Amino acid sequence: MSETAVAACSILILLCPLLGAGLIGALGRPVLRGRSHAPAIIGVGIGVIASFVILHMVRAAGGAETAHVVLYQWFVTGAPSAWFNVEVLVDALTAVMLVTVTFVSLLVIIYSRDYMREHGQPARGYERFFAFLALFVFSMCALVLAGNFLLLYLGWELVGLCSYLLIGFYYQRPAAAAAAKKAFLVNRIGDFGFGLGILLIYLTIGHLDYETVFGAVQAAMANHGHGDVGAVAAALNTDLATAVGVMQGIQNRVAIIALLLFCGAIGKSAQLPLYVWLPDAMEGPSPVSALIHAATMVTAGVYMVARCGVIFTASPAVMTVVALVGAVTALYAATIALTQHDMKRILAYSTVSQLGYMFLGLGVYAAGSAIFHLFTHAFFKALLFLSAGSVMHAMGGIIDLRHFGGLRRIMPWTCRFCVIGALALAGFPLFSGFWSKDEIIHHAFQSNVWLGLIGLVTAALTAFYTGRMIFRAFWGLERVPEGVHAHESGRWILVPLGVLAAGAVLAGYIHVGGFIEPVTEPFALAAAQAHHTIPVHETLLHAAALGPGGADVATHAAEGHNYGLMAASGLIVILALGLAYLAYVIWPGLPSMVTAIWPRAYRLLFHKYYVDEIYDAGVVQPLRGSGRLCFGIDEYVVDGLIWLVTAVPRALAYALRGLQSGAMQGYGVTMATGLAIIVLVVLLSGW
Amino acid sequence: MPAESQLVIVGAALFALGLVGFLSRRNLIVMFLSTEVMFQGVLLNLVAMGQIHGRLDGQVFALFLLVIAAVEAALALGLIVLLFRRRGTVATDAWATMQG
Repeated sequence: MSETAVAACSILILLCPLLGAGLIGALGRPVLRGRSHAPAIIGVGIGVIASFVILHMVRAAGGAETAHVVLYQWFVTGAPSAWFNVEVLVDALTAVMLVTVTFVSLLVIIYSRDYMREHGQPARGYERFFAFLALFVFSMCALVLAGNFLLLYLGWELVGLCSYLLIGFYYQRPAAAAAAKKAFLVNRIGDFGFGLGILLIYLTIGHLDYETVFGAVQAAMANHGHGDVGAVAAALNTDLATAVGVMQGIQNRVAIIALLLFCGAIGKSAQLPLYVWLPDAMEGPSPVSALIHAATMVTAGVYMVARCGVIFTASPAVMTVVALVGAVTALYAATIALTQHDMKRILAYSTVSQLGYMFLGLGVYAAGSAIFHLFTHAFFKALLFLSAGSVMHAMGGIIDLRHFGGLRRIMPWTCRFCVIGALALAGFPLFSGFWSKDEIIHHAFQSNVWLGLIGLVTAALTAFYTGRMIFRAFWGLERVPEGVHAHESGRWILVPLGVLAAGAVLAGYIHVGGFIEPVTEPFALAAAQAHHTIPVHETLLHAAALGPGGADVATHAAEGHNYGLMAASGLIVILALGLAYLAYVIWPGLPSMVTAIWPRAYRLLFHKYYVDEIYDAGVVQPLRGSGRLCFGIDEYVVDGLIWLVTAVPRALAYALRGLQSGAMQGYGVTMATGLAIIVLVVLLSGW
Repeated sequence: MPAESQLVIVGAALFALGLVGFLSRRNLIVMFLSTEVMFQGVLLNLVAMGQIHGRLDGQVFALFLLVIAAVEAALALGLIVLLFRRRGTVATDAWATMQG
């Protein structure tokens, strides 16, 4: 890879969306108006092309090469003055993420051109919407391209900001404003830990760029955790005495650093216990849900953990935490999705659940599979959200499954695409979700039977709730909300859906896991140490040697896919879908009978385990109470003290103000008396 | 009694009369006239003091003060006219609004 070409492409990827956003921001309202989508589409389009060029360069270099380019020196700080650079790190993982992010974003922006119109007229805030979307693409690309933790944090916070702006896009609606605030605050909790983790990295190592940090951590954890002082010194470019201290610092703190970084991932990627913002984020327009809260931003946590593999795999305990959080979240969110009626909310909980799968994959040392699932999930989840948006558009803004149904004939194309997305999400054999999810479950079984079982049960639940959503929306009695002229969406909406549908089918045949194997090597090495079972690593290298990104099922098989497991999970998915068909098409009375048998369980799930209520009572109300207390102290104690101090001059004034009669003669008499006294004193003193 | 002492006595009498007038009347113009009377008493004193000390300073001083008094009278009368336009009266009661 030539550094110049990588630098040029990175700058294009970063600047074009940013310029687009700036252009819309400056000219949107006065000039562009209904054409405001054009700068965003062009800017992100250039980003897509540049991303593919980078992917091509990485592939041409065999996938194992890393390009580290310093764009410019930013500022200098620290005792041994170290420059913080604006630098990019491009390797296989970056390339995959870039292509996913820019490509899905472009489709979503194209889709939004029609979606954000009412009766052909641009909706209110049309320019604002596209400016924010382009700004978001810039932020996410900055996050992915960042070559050090400082830039990563910059991108991390910028996507948080864009998320806030876009969730609150309909800020006139109190629910949307509250959801935006909630997302921002919950993310802040995670980001606080993330920021602390980055600070701790700087305190421990004194550098923030990936190569130095990862090199130092790797050297410090070498020799089964005993460390290699020489290698640490080489990585940091210092003498041995300094390196010994740094090495001990790393060995002591690496687990805490990993946990703090994981805090950020929990917040951004909506895992237990900080997932609460994501379902509420559905108050934003559907394209936002598709782009930010399904396909790209929420995957930042997964990307970060995969990128920091060296730090995370240094502590098996942290990896267990990651796997457990992922597995529990996957199962937990899937159970909630079973009972929801709002199509977008079902998809939101499904996103939380699928992100849980990705963390499960990371936790069981299968980072390649996790990123593979991220990649396929981006396509089918964006497809599903955009289809839901298409339905919502046709239903006049109503997305509650209780108010419509049987749309198969009214919206044939949306229905087809949505079914494809649903099959991919459910993990129906030969669709993309099947391959990626199966890999994760396979690795989970290798690590721990219970984790694998959770994965399988969640897969069954996923298939069931996906089937339930599809069958209720598109099958059965044809119903539309009153006063709504239901119609199929236009070309601008259907073409992106079609492209995404193709992706949802075919993405599973692109072998991402093998392609990014050089980047996720720390996971494979740590797994070899942890389990002593690692046929996968060898076979993956073999597959990568055969051809990076080789697209055939045989590669999957070669990777150590367990055919028995594949058959079992395929069967489970088909059975669950069949059950959903039975319950929602053939025998519509069945669900209410089931809920009548277990009313408590149903209510628990329907109210999302009352987590929002618990958080409200346990966190929000006490905090609000302490806020009130502080307000009261300020109002009565502090202000009271000040009132007491001011009371002294006020009392004096009250006593003396009677002298100010306002009558001129009174003043005159006083003056004359004073004069007389002075004269008397002078005369009597004989002066 | 020497002439200087008589001058001082007349001056003191003028000042006292003016003071009584100033304190006992409510009409702004009369009050102003009273202050002028007090003023003349002071001037007479200045002349007398000049005589007593056998110097001209007192008379020169008195001449300067007369000019200043004329200017000040013009200014004061102008103010009184303005006050009259506001309230339609020249009684001080009309302006006794600054009560504590």
